[in-house]
Amino acid sequence: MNYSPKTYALAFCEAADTAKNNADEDKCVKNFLALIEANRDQKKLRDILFFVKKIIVKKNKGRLLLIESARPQGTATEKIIKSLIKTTDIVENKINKNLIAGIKININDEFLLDGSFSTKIKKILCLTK
Amino acid sequence: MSYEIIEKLKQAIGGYKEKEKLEEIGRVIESGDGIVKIYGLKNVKAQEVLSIETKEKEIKALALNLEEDSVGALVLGDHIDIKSGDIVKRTNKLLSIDAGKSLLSRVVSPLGLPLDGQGQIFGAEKPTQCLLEKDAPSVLDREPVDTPLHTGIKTIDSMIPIGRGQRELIIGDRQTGKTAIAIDTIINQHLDTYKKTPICIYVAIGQKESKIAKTVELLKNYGALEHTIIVSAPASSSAALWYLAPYAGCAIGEYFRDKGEDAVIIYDDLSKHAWAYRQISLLLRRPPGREAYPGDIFYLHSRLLERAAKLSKEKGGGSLTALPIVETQLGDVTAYIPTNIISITDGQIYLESDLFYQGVRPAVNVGLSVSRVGSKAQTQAMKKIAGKLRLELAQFRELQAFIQFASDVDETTKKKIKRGQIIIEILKQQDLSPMSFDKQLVVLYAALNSYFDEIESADLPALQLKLLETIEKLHQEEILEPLIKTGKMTDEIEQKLKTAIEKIIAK
Repeated sequence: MNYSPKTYALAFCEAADTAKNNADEDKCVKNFLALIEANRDQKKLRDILFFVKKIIVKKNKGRLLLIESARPQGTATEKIIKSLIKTTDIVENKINKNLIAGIKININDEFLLDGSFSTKIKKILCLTK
Repeated sequence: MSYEIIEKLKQAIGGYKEKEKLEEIGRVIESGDGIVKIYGLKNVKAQEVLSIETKEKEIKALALNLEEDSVGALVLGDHIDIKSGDIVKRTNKLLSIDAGKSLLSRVVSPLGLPLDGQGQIFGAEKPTQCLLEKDAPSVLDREPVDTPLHTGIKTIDSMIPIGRGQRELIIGDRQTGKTAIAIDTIINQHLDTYKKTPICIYVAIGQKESKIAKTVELLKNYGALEHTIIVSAPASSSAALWYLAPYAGCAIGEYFRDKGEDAVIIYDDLSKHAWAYRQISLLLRRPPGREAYPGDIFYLHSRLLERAAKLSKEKGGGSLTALPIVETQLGDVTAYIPTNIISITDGQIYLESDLFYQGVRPAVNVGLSVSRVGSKAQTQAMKKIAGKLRLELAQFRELQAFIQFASDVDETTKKKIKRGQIIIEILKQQDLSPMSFDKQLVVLYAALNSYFDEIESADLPALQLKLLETIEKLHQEEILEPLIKTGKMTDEIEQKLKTAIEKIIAK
């Protein structure tokens, strides 16, 4: 079937909304996975999960944050970041050595705050061209 | 690598200010055939340049399709490196090209990159960024076309005059001399001293690189490259570049037009441009229409050709003349793209294969060719001399069927047939030999005033040459120069010309 990951995610969230207890939720997930299998859309699962996260976070007025840094954050940085995060936000930390230094924050996969050293070098090199 | 780079880096680091800001991003969800589908980028504008961050480098793309939650974009680089999941950033810049005087005599890509191996284009000069897609000048900004643009081709300058700011289509089958007319027009511009020399822009769309190199060499040899810019999207380049090439050329032309200068742009050819746009549209999954072209194929060309204009004096008085070329299949001018462009332009020069193989070169079919600006774009002298040329040719064409019964027709008809044959012979011209407008006047004056009536057709080319050589040597100041300066055939000049021709013919 030619349904987009977003359509699947919307349908799942609507169905999950009607669940009254944990058992209902489990049933909902099971049925949903069966449907995906029947439609042979397993390769879309990663994207579906991303959209489900996004829909739920949006509903709870939160944000989906991916914080990338070159090495584990120091306590000072961690404190600053924690002060900016709301309880409704879903935060994922990632170590990316390609950044060299600094930090990169991806918000809802819609906006990017790029404070990495690798980007700064790229920009400087562009200026010298 | 030289030590200079260290200094450059030092300066750049010194002047670099940290400005992290929230950037809007999207992700590539599909990539193939030079088209990418991007999820996100809700606020992107149409025609905005996007930057795709691949593992290796950043690749530019052009936003074309703005859909509910995705964007269809045209890759402006090597699309092989792009992978699903790559981050795409907005640049907040609409597609533009750097324009300036430094572009003269250079060959550039539609993105403004040099292709002639002569290094960077802009040295000391600061380039102006010109948008590729721009609105055409409004009615109030324009002025009627009234200054001639001489092509150096007798048939065209006498019967299908082109004015500065006009759009004249050159249409015909393959191998009928369409590009030759365009090249002759470029070469003629620096020979024609009647008005200031226009800047020529030659846009080569989907042509073989060897052909483009040949054209560049040709223009260089004839000294025409100095006032010419070549925008090249060769056959080996992507459809994206084929699609953008005319707009890039037009943006460069507009730069000169808005500076108050005259410019001529040749789109060689718009059939290939339409093919490229069809390919892009189908890949972007836009609904196909007639001949699988998208619905906006007319607008694609009309918005391009509408940018050719003669500006009013308040706007600087510059002009941009467009000479689009369209290739027909088996002479079918009723096909989709030819009819579209015929209806957009202010006239067409129709070239016929039959005429070409009969030896009539340029193979212009005068009956089907027209210039809707008409004699307004002609000098008074040309109007006076060649006014009845079209009529005489039309009369000849009616009588042409009787040529084989020449012995049975009356004297008047015989004479008319003979005169027609002389005119046809006189209008023949080799390619790469444009004739300046004053010399054209001399030849046409002699032909239309019966001075050649007794001459055999075979002797005409030699006589024409002799006539021009003698007048150039002996009567340059009294006949040719006033004609070039004023563009008027006064009674005094006419009398001198008559006497000179009579003397030469008598010899």
